Amino acid sequence: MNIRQSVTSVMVSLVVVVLSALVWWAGPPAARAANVPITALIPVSGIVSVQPESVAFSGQAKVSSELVLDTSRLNHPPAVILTIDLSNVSGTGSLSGAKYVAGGNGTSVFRHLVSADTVEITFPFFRSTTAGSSAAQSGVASFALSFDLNTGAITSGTATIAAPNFPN
Amino acid sequence: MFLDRKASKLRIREAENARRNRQEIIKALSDGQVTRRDLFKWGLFTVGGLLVAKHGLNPFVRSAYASVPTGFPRSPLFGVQAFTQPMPRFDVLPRNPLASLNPAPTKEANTTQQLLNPALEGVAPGDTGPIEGRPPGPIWAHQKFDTMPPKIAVPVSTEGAKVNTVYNPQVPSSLNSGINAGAPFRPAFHPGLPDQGPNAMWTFNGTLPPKLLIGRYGEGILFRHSNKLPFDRTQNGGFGMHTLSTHEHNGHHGAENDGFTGAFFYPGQFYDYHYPIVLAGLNTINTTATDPRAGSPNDAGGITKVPGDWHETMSTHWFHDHMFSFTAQNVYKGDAGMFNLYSALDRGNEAINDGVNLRLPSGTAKSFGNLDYDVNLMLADKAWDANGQLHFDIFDTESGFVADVMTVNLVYRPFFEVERRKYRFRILNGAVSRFFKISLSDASPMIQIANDGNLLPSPVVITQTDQLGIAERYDIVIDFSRYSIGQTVSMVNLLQHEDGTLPSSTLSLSSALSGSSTDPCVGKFLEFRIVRNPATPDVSQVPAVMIPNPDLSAIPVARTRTFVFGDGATQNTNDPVTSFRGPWGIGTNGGELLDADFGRISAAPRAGTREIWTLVNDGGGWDHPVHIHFEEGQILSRNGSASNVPAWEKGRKDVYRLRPDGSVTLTMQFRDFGGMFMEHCHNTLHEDNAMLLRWEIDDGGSPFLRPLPTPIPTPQGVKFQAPTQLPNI
Repeated sequence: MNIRQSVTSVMVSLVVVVLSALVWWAGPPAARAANVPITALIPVSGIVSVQPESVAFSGQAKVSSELVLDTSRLNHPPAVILTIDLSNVSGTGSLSGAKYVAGGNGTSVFRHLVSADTVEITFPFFRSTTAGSSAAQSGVASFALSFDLNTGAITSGTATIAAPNFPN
Repeated sequence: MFLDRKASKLRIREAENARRNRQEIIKALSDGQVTRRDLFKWGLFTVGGLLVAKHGLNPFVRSAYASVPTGFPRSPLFGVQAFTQPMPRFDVLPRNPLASLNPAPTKEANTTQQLLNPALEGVAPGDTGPIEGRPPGPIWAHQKFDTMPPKIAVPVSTEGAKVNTVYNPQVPSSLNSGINAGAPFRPAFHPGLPDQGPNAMWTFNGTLPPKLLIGRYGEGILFRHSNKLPFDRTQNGGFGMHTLSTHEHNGHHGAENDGFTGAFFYPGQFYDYHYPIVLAGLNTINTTATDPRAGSPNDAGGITKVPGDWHETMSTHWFHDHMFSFTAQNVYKGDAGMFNLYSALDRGNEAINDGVNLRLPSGTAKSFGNLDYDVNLMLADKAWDANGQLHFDIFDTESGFVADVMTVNLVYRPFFEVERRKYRFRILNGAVSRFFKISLSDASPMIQIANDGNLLPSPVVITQTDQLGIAERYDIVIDFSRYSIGQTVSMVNLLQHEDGTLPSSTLSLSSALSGSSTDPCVGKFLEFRIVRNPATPDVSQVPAVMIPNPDLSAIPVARTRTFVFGDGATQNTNDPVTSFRGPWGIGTNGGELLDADFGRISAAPRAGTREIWTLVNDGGGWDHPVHIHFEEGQILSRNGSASNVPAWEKGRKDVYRLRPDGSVTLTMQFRDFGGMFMEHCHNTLHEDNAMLLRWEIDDGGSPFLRPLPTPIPTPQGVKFQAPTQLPNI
C-alpha cells in the first residue's frame, strides 16, 4: 500500500467532509433527513485483461459514505450506504493506446458498518469515443476500506481493478 | 422469512406452531370474525400496531425461533431443482371488439340490479345490488368517455387457480423455450410442485402465466374486470380479501379508473375501467395532433397522430389489486399483471425506420407490439406450506414479508432460451416487500433504457442495476450476441434481506454466486440458454437519445408540499370502513404522522398547476418505495442535492425509493383528469398498515364537487359520505 497516497486521500477526504457538511446543512429542512454523506478519494489501479486488448486503469474513485442508524424497535445494526463514482478513473489500451472510461457512476451498495470491509463492484467501461454504446466491456473493482465506527467515514482505503472471473 | 434448512427440529416445530397460531388470527381477521380493533382491545396488538411479544406470535421474539425474525420453516421443494423448467412468457389478454361486451359499457356505473348471494357479508336472502361495483353517478362517470370512447374490450376476471387451456404468449414455441402453448398450463410453480388450490392462489382469469395487456396510444381500452372470487370471504386459503380494486399503475386516466383503494367491488360484480391511453398535456400541448412523435402505431406500419406531449410517452405499466388494507395479500396471491403501451416512439417493431421509431428490440412481423425479443419479467418471492400451498404472514406489519423462493413469471427459478441478438426485458418487481439488485452472472454489461413506465432521456450502460424497489420497473437490453451457442448466463440477485424493512446488505457478485448467503433468494434466479443464431439479422437499436424529459421550467411552481413517511403514527378518525390502524403513517406539511384513512384528503393540487413535493423517510431502519398515482414526476434532488440523482433516475418516474433516512424532491404537473388518487409506500405491508394517503385534483371548473364524497361500497350498492380533510390542503 502506498502510504503517501493513503495520507493524501484521507486529507482530501477531510476537506470533502467539511464541504459536504456545509452543502448538507444549507439544504431545506425537509430535505435534510439523511446523515451527512462523507466522501473519500480512493486510489485505484489495475489491469483488465480482455479482448482485443488489455486496459490499464488508474485514477481515484470517489466513494461517498453515509451512516445509517436504526433507532426503531427493530434495532438493525449500523450500516453505511456507499456510493461509488469512477468518473475519475480511466484506462489506456495496451495495443492501441486508446483512452477508456469507466461507467456505472452512482452505483450504491448497502453494507453493515464494520471497521474493515471489502467491497467489490462490477463496472462497465468503453473506449471514450464509444461511451454509452453496446460495445462496453466490464471490470471488477475491489475496495479495501476502513471505517470510523462512530461516523461511518472511510478512514483509509485502496482499490484494485481486474477482469471479471466468476464461476458460471 | 425463513429458517435455515439445517435448523433444529425443535426450532422448526416452534416455528410451525407460531405459523399456525398466526394463521388462525390472520384467518379470523380476513373472515371478519375479529377486527384489528379487537386485537388491540385484547392486547394482541400494541397501540403502535405491533404484535405483542408473546411466544408463538411475534416475529421479533427472536429467542423463540431464530435470528431470522419470524422463523418460518423453509418452503419444501418436493425435490425439484432450479433451472429445470422453462420460463413462460406472459399470457396475452385478448383484445376484443367493444361490441362483444354484454352489457355494453356505460359512462356512469351500470346500476342494473341483480339478486345477491347471501354468502356475501351483510346480505340477506332476497337482497339485490348493482351489477357494476363502480360508484354510481356523475362523479365516478368515465371522464372523456364521449370524446375518447373506448375502442377495444378486454374482459378479465379474478378467480381461484385453475388450469389454463387458452394460453396465448403471442410468440411461437421456439421463442418461448419450447413451451407448447396448446397444452394445459397447470397452476403450479414448477411441474414437480403441487398445483395451487383455488383458494390459495387468485390470479387474473384464474390462470398462469401472469397476464399481459397490450395497448397503444389513442386506442382506448375498456377493461371489464369481473370478480369471480368466492362469495364467502372465509374461502380464502387463510389470507386474501375477496373484494377488489384494480390499479393500472401508473395510468394517466381519470380517477374512476385508477383503482382507488376505497372503490372496491364484490364477488358477482364487475367494474368497467376505461383506459383512454392518452399523452399527458393533451388539452394544452400539440392539441391539433400535428407532431408525429406524439403518435400511435397504426396497423399499416405508420403513425396515427394524437394530441399531447410526446415527452410524456409511457411504455411499461402493470396492474394489480389495491384493496384497502389487503393489497399485499391479494397481490401476493397472484392478482397482478403487466401492461405494455406502444407509441410512435416505442413501436414494438424494430424494423420500421421512419425517423420517429426508436427501433428497440422487439420483432418485425407485426406493425406494432412484437414480443419476439421484448420479454416481460415479473420477479416475486413466494413461500408455501408443507402442502405446497401459498403461505403468507400479515404479522410482519413493522417490517414487511420476505419469502424464501424466488420466482420469475410465477414459476420457480426457470431457464429461458435466447438467440444470439439483443433482447429487451421489462423487469417488474412484483414482490410485496423485497428489493432486488440484478447483475448478469459474468458481470457483462447491460443497457438500462427505462425506469418505471418511461424510457430514459438516454440509455445507461450498467453491469448491475440499482436497487429495484417494490413496483419499480427497469427495462434493460441485453445483447446475447457476445455469447456462443450452448453457453449459459444467468440473472443474479445481489440483495440480501434479513427482514422486510429493507435489504440488509448488497453482496458482491462473487459472494452472491457462492451460495453462502443466509437469504435463499440471493444468487441466480433466471438462466439464459443461448440456443441459436437469429434467423434474420438483428436490426434493433438502442439510440443515444430516447425521450427527453418534458421541460417544466417555464411553468410556475404553484405549491410545495412535504410528506414524511415514518412509524409511530396516530389515527385521528374512527370510521369503521375508511380508517385503519397500523404502525406506519404519513405526515403532511409538518403535521403529525397519521394512519391511513381513505376518507381523509391530505392534499388537493389545483388542476393545471405544477408542484414540488418532497418525500422524507424519517428512519434509518427501513426504506420506503413511495408511489404517487396518476402523474409522472421528475426527481429534482436526493437528500437536497441534484448531484445525488443517478443517471437512471433522470427520466420520469412513479415510484421513488427514499433510502434509509433519505429524501427525494420531485416535481409534477396535475392535468387532464381529476378525482381522488393515492400516495403510499409500495412495500405493500407498510401500505396496508397504514402508510397511505388520499389526495385529489381539486378543480372548481370541473364537474366534480369539492371536496369529493368518499365512496363506501356495500354489496347492495355504493354509499357516499362526506370526507374529512387536513387543514390547508
